[in-house]
Amino acid sequence: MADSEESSPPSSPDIQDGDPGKPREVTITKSETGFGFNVRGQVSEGGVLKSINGVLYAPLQHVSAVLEGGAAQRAGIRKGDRILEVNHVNVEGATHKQVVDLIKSGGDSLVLTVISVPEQVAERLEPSDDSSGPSYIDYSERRSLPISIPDYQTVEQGGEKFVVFNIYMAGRHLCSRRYREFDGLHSRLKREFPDFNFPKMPGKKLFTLSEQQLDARRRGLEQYLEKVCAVRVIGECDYMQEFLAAPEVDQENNHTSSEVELKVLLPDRSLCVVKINRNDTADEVFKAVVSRLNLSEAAAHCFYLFETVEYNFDRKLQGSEFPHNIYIQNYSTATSTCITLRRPSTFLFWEAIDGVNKGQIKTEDKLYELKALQESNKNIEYLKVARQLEGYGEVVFPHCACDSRKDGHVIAEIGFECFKLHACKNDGTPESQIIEFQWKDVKSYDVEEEGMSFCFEYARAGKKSRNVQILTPYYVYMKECFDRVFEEKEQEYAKLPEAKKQLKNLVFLNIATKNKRDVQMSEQKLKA
Amino acid sequence: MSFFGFGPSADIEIVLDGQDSRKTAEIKTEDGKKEKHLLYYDGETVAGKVNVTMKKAGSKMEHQGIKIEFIGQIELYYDRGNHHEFTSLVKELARPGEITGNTSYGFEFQQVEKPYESYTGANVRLRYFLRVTIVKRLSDSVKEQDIIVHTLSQYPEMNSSIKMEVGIEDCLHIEFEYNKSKYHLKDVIVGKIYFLLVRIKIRYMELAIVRRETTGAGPNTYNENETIAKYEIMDGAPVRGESIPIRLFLSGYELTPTMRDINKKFSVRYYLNLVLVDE
Repeated sequence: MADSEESSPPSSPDIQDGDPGKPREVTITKSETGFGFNVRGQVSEGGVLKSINGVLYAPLQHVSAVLEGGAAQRAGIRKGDRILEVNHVNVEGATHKQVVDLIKSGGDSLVLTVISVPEQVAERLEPSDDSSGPSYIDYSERRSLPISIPDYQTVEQGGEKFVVFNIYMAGRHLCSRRYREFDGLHSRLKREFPDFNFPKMPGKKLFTLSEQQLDARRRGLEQYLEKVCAVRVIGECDYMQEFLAAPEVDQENNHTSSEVELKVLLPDRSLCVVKINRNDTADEVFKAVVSRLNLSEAAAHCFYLFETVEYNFDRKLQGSEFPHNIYIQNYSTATSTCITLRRPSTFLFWEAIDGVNKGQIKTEDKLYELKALQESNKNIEYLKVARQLEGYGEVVFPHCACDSRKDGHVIAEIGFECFKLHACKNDGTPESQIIEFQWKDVKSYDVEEEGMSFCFEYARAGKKSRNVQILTPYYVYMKECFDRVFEEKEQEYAKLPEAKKQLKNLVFLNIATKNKRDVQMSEQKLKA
Repeated sequence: MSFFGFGPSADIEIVLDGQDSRKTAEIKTEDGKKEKHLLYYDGETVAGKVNVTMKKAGSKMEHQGIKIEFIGQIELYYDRGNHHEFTSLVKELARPGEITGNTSYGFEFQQVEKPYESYTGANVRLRYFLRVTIVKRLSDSVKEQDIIVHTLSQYPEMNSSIKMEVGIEDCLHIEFEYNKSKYHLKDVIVGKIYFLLVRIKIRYMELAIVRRETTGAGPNTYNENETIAKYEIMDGAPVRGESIPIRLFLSGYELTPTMRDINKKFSVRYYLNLVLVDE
């Protein structure tokens, strides 16, 4: 790229007046063919200053075409002329729209200040669009989008059955597209951005895909979308926006809402897949799971749906919640689902094993015995041993703050025998102090929506009643556990012989419902 | 320099015009030292004199020609062999002959195109320099002189502000606002952080300026992030409804303009990171 001699570029033969490289003023009057020239240039405002014939100017709009024999040509305007002023208004760095508006504002007359540039300079300032256009696209500008394809479903349309993949953005459903549409998008994007290194698309298959293959395809499409949308230019291009837009029409569908698939983790670690409607409540989903598993009524009564919040903490779903929403929001490639089916507060074999493994059930020296039973699948024996251990049948909540503890947190443990508050540090490391509350001492309890907490009132024998407030995000679940304990206690009471019933009469009589009640304890009656 | 002691050697000196009138600028070299050179802009003529002096007075030096080149090049540190020259102009100063005593040659590169700004970064370097070569039979004598090029930009005063509401569901919702989306090197970032919901205990909050240098293309893209500045804007736990002001003066930091895909070789971008640290 070496020039051996630098001389001023040859000036265009048409331009006679003055110094070819200097700005000159040209007046054009509209003819029957208008002004007879086109303007082209940047859409944005401002920009980097570039030199034209040795002088720095902000980006200028230029004359892209001149009509043969038109008013502009007769006035001396040439193709490639850079526009400095329009009707005496400086347009350095102006947008295309601003310049066009100024030209129109003059009516039939127009005064332009232009600079003519030779071919090579024009080429440098405005590169020709056909070949070098796309390569000026900045692929390095990226942003990360929370786009995911968590599930797919089979639809029937026009007599044809095919699979569509549901595309979500930050937990909200955008659209559902089939593989063919993804393929079409990919080809269109490749043509639009020929020099971009596109990630690989999952392959085409001639035969119907198995569940495993479909899931692999789902993951592949998700990765492709994530990578491609991350590049700003591609993510914001028309093809992509069109692809991601929710398909119009079918208001009907929005009401009935389409079928989706939900995966539920069962106690034996297997997955159960149920077909539900997107906005089915937890109660409805539970019914679907029960029918899918063919559970008896009695058995169904002992289970419910839980959300896996942390490693060793599952939160029971409220009947009115939407499991599919939770399923989508907690979507991660690490676990297949965050919805599990469990028995609240009492364990079955697998859950007991789980409890042992996670350390919830304190095994101590029984661990060896338990492992042996686990190996040989002696369920009943395992449960017998496990039941004796501390921690069995307990629900342990993640550490949180408590109003009776100024410095530090507590770990709440709800067990069948009693309710414990285990002192711990702010980060959850357990400390030595443990306070036990016997269930009979608990007078009342309730949740406090405003403060997001759970409070209960207790009174030890002979002492004044005191209120305790536990600030846990799972306050609703905590109340449910309390409800459940009292319900089971009542059931236990119902099984007791008559004599004992009399004694415990006053204790349990008023703690029978799920609503808040004030319990009046008559100490004399109890002692009697 | 002839190492074998073959023949007399000469000193080359490049003196640029306008030393007293032209402004200088500073740039970091690869090893981190700061160097000062004359500042040029796009389209400006680069002219001066080349003084060739014989080391030993009275000796003669035979040569095959003296030339001067003006070069603008991009060096990628991981690919030292290949220097990508985007501007290269040559002028012949002297035809093959002899040098005796002190000789001075004038040169002028008229209205040289300097499309990009000089930049020294972590993995890439863009520089402009003059190179004088005395071609000799066995080895050439070479002398280089760097210049610094700055690009100027013009942007409208009306610059839309950046305003966003972000947060963690049920834990922390904040709304942040910065007065502009395009800042110049001596600008001030003025803004505020408004806390809409605070359910966690925050220790402090700081604003960090991060430079991201992207080199390579396609599968070989390499991003290097460097935190240019960290500025604490709040100490202590805020509550709902509190508004924290931001006033950050950019002139105190070593910033360069944002460079987008320079010659398709590298990009330099700046980011504002808002960092909140909790207990």
